[in-house]
Amino acid sequence: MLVPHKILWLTLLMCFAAAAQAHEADGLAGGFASGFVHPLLGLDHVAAMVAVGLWGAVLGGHAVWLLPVVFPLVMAFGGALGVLEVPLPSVEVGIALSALVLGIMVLFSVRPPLWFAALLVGIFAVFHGYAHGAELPDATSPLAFSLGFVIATGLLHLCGIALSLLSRWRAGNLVVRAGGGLIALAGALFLLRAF
Amino acid sequence: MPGIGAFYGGILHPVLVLPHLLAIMAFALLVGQRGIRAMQFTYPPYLLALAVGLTLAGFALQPSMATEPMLLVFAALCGLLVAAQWPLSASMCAVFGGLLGLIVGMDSGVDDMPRRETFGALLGCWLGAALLLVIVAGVSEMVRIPWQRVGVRVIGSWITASATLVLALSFRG
Repeated sequence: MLVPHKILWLTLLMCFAAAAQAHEADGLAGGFASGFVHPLLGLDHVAAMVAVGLWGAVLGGHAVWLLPVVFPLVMAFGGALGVLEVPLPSVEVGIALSALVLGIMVLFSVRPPLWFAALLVGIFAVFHGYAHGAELPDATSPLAFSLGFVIATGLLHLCGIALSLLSRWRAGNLVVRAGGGLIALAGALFLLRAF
Repeated sequence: MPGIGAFYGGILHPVLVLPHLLAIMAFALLVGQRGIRAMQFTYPPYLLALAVGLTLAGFALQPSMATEPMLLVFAALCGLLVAAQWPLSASMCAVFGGLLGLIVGMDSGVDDMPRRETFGALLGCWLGAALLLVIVAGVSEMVRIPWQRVGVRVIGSWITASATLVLALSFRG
């Protein structure tokens, strides 16, 4: 029979036991999961992706869907450059700039022509794609990895679009613009760190 | 796949082999976008070519060329057409369907199985690939609300992005 102090010790020991991993995350699952978390683990990526969604919604009309469609297509081009190890200078600077510039666009509700917005977002997408693409050759399942990070990127855009719904009322609009300001500030910090 | 039987393993095959899944999904979204007439034109050649391809695979008459890059090119192209909402004609959909069915079928061979289980696996694969196309195309055709149609286009762009990246990796060697 276990005496109370033994129960206490055993309970204490259980606190240090490693958790059982019931599901292996290799192959398809590992590739998809690591691809899915790749954009989420970099705050610079997250900030810029959310800003794309926010800015699309601020621009309104076709921009709401055009920017999230253009971004992954051009990002794939950047990713291909990364996979093929084509040199692209200042990738980190490009990613930091994307957060800074897109944040400013949201902060000041800048509404340029749609083609210009798509071009700007497309240029930044090349840098983000390059960073993801460079990781692709080491992935367990490259196709699952790429699918994971493309979907995660799209969902971050969706977060931005959903957040922008706040701008339907006055106070909410201020919150959205303040969010743009925060993203721009973060972008400036990323930029300082990149140099 | 061990433990689930040859027939059910065959049904799951098009869903679990990512190049097959992406190519069929992108094509199904495209066909659904084009509407009922495109679906009527596409299903017969797709299903027939799929059966022919699987029969050839059953007799181990598979192409020596790499089918994965072909499927990824197909997925990237169809995804791009979906993202652009390109008005592809029903006859072109039929040609695409026949081509896709043949490639998927020929790339779905089984190794070292008794004849009965091989037949079960191939039959399951035919059913799985048929259901995948019909269901995804049906869902894609049913969407009417603007944001849902935008969602279909976004998924098309995701498929193109993903397929393009892996194609780049295959060129890297």
